[in-house]
Amino acid sequence: MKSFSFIHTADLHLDSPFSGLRQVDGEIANLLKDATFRAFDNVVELALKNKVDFLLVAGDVYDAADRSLRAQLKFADGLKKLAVAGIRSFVCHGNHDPLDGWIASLQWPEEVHIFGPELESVPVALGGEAVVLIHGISYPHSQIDDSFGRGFKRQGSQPFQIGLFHCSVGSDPAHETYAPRTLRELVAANLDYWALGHVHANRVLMDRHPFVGYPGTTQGRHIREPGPRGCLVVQVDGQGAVNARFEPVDCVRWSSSELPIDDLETEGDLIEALERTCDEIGDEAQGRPAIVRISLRGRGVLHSMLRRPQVVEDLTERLRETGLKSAPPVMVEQIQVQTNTHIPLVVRRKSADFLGEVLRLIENTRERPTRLQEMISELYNDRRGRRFLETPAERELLELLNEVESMCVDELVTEETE
Amino acid sequence: MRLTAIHIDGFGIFHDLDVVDLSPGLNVFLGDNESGKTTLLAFIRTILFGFPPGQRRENLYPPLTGGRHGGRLTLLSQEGEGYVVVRHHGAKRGPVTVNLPDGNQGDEEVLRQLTGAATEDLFRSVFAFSLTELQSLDSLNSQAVRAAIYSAGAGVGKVSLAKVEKGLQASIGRVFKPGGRNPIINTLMRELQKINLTISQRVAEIERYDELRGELDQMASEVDGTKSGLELKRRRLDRVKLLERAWEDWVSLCSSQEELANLTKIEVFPADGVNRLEKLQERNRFLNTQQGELVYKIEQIEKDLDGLESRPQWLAAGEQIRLLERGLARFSAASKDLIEIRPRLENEWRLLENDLKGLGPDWQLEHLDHFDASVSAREEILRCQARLERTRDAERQAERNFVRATSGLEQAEVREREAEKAISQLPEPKEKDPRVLSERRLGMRSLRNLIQTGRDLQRGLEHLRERQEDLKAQKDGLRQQMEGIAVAPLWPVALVVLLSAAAGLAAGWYRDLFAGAIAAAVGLLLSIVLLWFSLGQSRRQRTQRNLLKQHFFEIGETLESLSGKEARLLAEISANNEEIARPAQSLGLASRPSLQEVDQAEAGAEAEQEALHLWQPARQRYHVCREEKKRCKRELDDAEQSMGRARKELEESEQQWLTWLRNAGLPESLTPNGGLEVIERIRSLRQQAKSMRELEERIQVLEKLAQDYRGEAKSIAQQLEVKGILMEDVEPVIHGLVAELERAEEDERSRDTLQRQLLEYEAERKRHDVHLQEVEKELQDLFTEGGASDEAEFRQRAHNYELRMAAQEALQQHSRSLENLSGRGQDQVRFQDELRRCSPERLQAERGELEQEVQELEEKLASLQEQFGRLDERREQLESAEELSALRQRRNGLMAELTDAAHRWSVLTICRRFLQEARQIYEKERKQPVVRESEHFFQSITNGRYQTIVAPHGEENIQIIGANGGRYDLDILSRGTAEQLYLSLRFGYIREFGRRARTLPVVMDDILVNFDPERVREAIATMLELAAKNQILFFTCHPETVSLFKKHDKNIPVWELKGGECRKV
Repeated sequence: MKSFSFIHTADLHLDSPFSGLRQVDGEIANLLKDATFRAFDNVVELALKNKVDFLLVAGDVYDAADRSLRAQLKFADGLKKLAVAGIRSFVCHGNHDPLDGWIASLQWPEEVHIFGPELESVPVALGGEAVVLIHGISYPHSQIDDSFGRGFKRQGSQPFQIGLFHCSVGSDPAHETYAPRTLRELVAANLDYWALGHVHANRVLMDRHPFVGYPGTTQGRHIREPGPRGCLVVQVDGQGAVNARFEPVDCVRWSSSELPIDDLETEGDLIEALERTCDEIGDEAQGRPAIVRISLRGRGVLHSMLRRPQVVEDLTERLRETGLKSAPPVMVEQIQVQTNTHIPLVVRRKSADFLGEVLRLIENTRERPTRLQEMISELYNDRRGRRFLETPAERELLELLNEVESMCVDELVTEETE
Repeated sequence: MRLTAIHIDGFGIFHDLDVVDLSPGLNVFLGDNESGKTTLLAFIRTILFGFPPGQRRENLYPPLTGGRHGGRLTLLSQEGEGYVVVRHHGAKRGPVTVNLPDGNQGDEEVLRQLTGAATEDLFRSVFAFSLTELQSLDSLNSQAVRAAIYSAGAGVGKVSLAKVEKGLQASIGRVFKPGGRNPIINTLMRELQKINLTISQRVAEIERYDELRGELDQMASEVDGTKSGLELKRRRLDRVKLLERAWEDWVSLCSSQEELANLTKIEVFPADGVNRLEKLQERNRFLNTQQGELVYKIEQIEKDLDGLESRPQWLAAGEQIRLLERGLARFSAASKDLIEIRPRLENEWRLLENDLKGLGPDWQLEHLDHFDASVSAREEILRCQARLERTRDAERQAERNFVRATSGLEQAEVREREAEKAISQLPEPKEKDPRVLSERRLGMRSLRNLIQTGRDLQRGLEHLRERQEDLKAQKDGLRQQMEGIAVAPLWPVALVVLLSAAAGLAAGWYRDLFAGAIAAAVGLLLSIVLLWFSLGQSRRQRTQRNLLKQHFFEIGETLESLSGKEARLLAEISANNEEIARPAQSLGLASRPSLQEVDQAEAGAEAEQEALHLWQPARQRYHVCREEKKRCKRELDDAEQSMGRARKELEESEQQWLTWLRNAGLPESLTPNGGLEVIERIRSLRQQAKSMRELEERIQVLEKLAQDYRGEAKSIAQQLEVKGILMEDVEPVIHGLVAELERAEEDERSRDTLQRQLLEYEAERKRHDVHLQEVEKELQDLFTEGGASDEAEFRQRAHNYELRMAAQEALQQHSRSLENLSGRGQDQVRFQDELRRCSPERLQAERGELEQEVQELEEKLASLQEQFGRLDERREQLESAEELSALRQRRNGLMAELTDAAHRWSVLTICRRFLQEARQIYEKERKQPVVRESEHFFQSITNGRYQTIVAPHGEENIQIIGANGGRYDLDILSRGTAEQLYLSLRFGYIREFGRRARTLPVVMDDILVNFDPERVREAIATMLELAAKNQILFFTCHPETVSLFKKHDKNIPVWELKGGECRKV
């Protein structure tokens, strides 16, 4: 068998916006706007550079709900570029870009194959030799049932057979379940490579016989997608052995970092530590712009200072200013204050004073946090509030309660009394 | 801690004030207005907490009646130890020293401990207050008091819960408000709604993308079709327009060809012949006219030259006449001056002569010149004058001195005679030294005292001896009394006992035991009575005897001491006798003189002393007068000599002055002042004479000038032969000469000008002749060139030639134009054929039609292209639309902000809710200790009408609950009740402070005035209750208040303040 190579990518989510970023403008706004496109461009460049034989795209190219024509055109442009270089592309659609979603009528080159709603198999001849058979199916619509996509199985004489499919393998709380499959089911199909999409993190479920893996999304779009994002560059040798290498293609990198304040004494110390953290993250991003969320934790003398109004906002503003000037730029998405007071709450809860009374009330509420929903119903049940906000779940309510407790202590206990 | 004493060195009206023995409980101070109650209150506060700093601008109570500003307080601590706090005005609010119980000294720190670390603010608002402070809750604004009333024990320290809740509420409101517009969440949601709307509009547009592509293709083919149709029409229209443009040329070309065929053939003709001919003719005419005008002008000038007269002798004398004209003004001025000066000079001479006569009858002008009126002469006069005055004054003074000395001598002689007479009338004393007499009198006085002392000693001795006698008699009496007192014996008692015992035994033995026992008992009882009596009797006797014995011994002791005294007296008497004997002898008296002898001797000495007193001043006076007379005589001699010297000197000075006058030639009667005046006068006359001589010289100069001028004028007039000139009146002559000269000069100038013009005109006439000949020759040449013999023929030929040339030119021009439009060769042939076939009317009609069609097609194309452009632009926009991406990014950003804000709002809202709930629970279940204490006092003062005080937790507010359960805010309470509440709150705090820190003294200034009688009684009772622990100083100006206190407890000490003093009533 002739050896060959291909790129396995998925979840491009072209032109879908970044989440959680407040007040972004100027150069960084332009950068973010084009980030998903540039990541895809990097995939194309990678394919051209490595002279791969074909490209596999395992669904969620764009978010159909967004109706982004730009996304579809750019995608087509990219594939045309590959076609010009003689590289074929195989695309299946996922839950975000199902076939019944809005798709512009674009002219696709012959080298591009888009799988339809029925499972089909496309042979790929390399140097006149029938080497690869690609089985694939696109989501006809986003509401598919669990049986969708069953029937992948080895057929024909091609020595290397690939399953291109957008689905969930096992359970993953971070993603909604679509076309759930077990690893056993996938192995049973007797294919050589499962090119999967849907899970946004790069994850290899099996590294051989068959290789089962998700390349993850090409560009992180929020703080829950930190670290390098990219695609798999796969080499298949004459014996059909798979060597899949992860290549980062993201052009903006998300990071989250924790900074303990226990040893910091002055505001100057804090700023210095924050700037140091940003520098480290900038270094880790390997020349890319980075977006960072820093969580301040621990107990320290700075706790009460951080609780004062506008302090965190000012710090964020300051870090943004300096971060955006650095090369590559580091943008602070948020500084989360999760620090705690020195006051021993266990002891204070037992005291007969007013603070003790408050702390006991809070403690009692932990047992039935839904009581809090009633307290905040004024906003969440508001006509517009209902449209834009979701009532916090129990876990979030408990987190809220911790913050409330911290705030009560800060408000009622002055530094002197501490 | 309490005050035991107050000492004020100097403070306000108080100076050196002591208030001691202050009661540990209640002390009432009664004082009228301005008696110093407030000053005393301020004093206590000042000593404990220092003088108010300058910036507070408070009354420092400087000492008005003296003393050092400050004082001391004596304190007794709770542990019973005494401290003295001393403070005087000085740096840092007045340095303080605290005398400690162990004798050491302490500073502010000790005082701080003594006052339980109470601040001045606290003391002022709670422990020492007046009615004004009581009437307002605000006065309880000390941080410590507020904390105690509202938050103490809440565990929230200085934090105000109300402020916290208010702050939370404000923050919540800033984040979200239902139905609000500006809060963060409201704004964000509004913006999100807007952005969602925009996004959905953009999405709808994008959904039309495929449709748009179809429309674009269809429209593109339509545009192409229209474009080619338009192109055909445009081409035909261009051809028609070309034919139209060529039509005119075509017609002209045809007519030019025809015209050429009809004209005579003239090949050569001078270029621009006719024009040249006319120009030459015109020039010829012009030159002839000019020539005529010149001839006329020459004739005129020759005529004018003949009319002008020449006067060379006037022109030659011109310079002299001008000189005369210029000198005329000087001549006139000189004549005028002469007329004026001459009479004035004569008058001056007359006046000068008169003035000279005033100096002396024979004074002439030469005298003036020779008289010495220099400064040195003047100085000489002044010296003479000064010497005369000085010598005269000296002579007068010497005369006066002589007269005074003469009269002084006469008076001295009279006084000497009087003193001599007075001394001769007085007797001369034996002893002339007054000290001897005075010593003698002193000796006599001490002698009299010694004699008197001797007498007193003698009388004392006699009295002592009498007393000794009395005492001896008393001693004997006592001895007899003592011997008379006998002690009662005890034997009767023993006898009775024996008898009764025997009787008892006998009765028992013989009769029965009982009777024996009774008898024995009776006997025993009797014996006990007897024994008791005897014992009492003997005790009394012993006591009396002891008393007598003691008295006896005392008298014995007295007698002994008296005999000692007697011996001492005797010794003193003998010493006295010796002391008398010595001075008596020295004074010439007996060794033991009587008092009368001493008195007589003293009277003698006194008389002698008086006589000496009279004689001594008289003799003194006589000596003085004699010395005076001698001195006067000496003075008279001196005065006489001085007078002689002065007179001589005066004569010398008068002689000097007369000599000077004689030398100067002035009368001898002249005084030096007169001499000075004469000098001034001569100086002025000299000046006058000088100016008159100058005037004479000037007249001579002027006369010469006038004469010369006249001579000159006369000679010129004669030279020019001017007739009828009178030389007395020179001025008109000069003017006449000048006028005539100017006329001659004018004529000369006109002649020169005319001759120059004549020469110029002659030259010009010659030039014109040459030009005329040239023109004539050119005309002949032109005719020859044009092939004509005369002007008429020349003109005819010229016209023919011009017509031919024009026709040829037109032919060529139209031919070129047509060639430009059609092109050459076959195109030109086809074009001319086409022109031959058509007409302008047909061309015009076709062009109109074509233009209409082209316009319609162009409009259609433009519209199609515009539509296509729009659609294509839209397509491009859709394809490259980044707006939607940006909008979605913005929406996500807003969502992030909204989530943050919602989170923040939730935290704030829940936080506030918990604080409210906790507050309700806390208020319900707990009560602050101060409020509890205050409640007790308030119940007592209001006699149970109000039961409860509520200080809502975390709020700086107080409510009270009545016996009926009603809840009242402070602002609806009557003034009296409110004051009672504030008083109770203070008492509550004082009690609580005492328990927590120290019991401090309480000072109240007339705070009961708004209480009704019943509540006054209750308040006093409450104060007494407080006074069990805290010392109270209560100031009042109402005696009835004092009575009320007294009614409660008559032992309450009352102090009265009056006139800067304080005393216990």
